[in-house]
Amino acid sequence: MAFKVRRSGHIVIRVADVERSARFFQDVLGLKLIGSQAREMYFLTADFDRNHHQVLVRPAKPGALRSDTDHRIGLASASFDIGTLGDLKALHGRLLKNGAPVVRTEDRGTIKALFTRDPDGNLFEFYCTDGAGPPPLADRYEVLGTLDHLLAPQDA
Amino acid sequence: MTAAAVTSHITLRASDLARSRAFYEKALNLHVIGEDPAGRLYLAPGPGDAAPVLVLEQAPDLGAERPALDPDSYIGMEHWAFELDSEDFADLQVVYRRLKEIGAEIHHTVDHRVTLSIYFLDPDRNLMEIYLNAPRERYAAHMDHPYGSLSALDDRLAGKAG
Repeated sequence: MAFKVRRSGHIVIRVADVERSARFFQDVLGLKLIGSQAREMYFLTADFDRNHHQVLVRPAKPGALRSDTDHRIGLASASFDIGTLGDLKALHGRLLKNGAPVVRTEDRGTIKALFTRDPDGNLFEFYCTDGAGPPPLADRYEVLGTLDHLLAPQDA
Repeated sequence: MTAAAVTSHITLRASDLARSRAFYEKALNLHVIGEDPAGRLYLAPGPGDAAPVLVLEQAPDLGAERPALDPDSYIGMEHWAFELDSEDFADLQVVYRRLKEIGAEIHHTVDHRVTLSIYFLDPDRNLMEIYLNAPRERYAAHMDHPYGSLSALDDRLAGKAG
C-alpha cells in the first residue's frame, strides 16, 4: 500500500562523553538544545516547529567499544542541508575556532559540502545548495574541486 | 546551523548492497533514483524525487568475518529516523503491517507523545525508526518534556485497540 517517507528526521548517537558531544552540536553546528533528561539524553534541533530533534546524544553503555568509523558496517556519514553558502562559511569558521577537523571540502556545482567529525569520529557532511531548485543527482557525488577558494579565512 | 537546517540523508555501509537495497525498497517504499560511478545507490521517497534520504554503499571486504554491530555495545550511531509523510495513524499501521509481512525484526514501538514510532532492524542490524509526528497541539504541548511516560504501541498498530 502507498505509504511514503516524507524526509529524514534525526540521528541518535551513543557517545563517549555526553557533555562534550552536546557542546559540539550546539557550539559548532549551531543546533539548539530543546531538552535533556538528567544528563542522559540531549535533544538538539534547528526546527522546533516540526522536527523535535535532529540530533540526540546519549551516553554509550559502560564498556562500549569504539567502532572503526571508516570501515564499520552501518553509519558511513550523516548529511545535513545547512542552507546558503554564507551558512556554510559561518560553519567553517566555527569549526576552525573550536578546533574541529575539516576532513575535506567538495565543490560539486550546485552543492558545496564540507565534512567534519564529531568528538567520537563519526563523519558528518554539511552542505549548501545554490537554492535554484533541486540539485541534479550527479551533484551529490561529482566532485569538481575543493572549496579552498571560498572558505579561506577572512582575516588571513 | 541556521533555522533552515534540514536533516538530509544517511549513508550506510552495507555488508550486502543488493540485500539492503531490496530491504529498504520493501520496508519503507524507497526508490533507487540513481547510482554513482562508485556503485553507491541513492534512494528517495518517490521515483521522481531529486533528493535522497538514504545512500547505500557496499562495505569493503576486509577478508575477515565482521559481526554485526550491536548499537548498544558501540560508540556511534544508535539509530536513524525517517518521518512518515502522513498525519494519519492508519498509515503508520500500514507500515507496521508491511514490516511484519517482509519479516523485518521490530525492535520496539512507542508513543513518544511528540511522535509515534516504530523501531526496526535492517539486514545489517542497523536500528532504524519510522515515525508519525503527533498532531500539532499534542506535539507543541509535549515538546519541552520529551519522552516522558512512554507506552508501547503494538496493540494499536496491530489494530487491536484504539
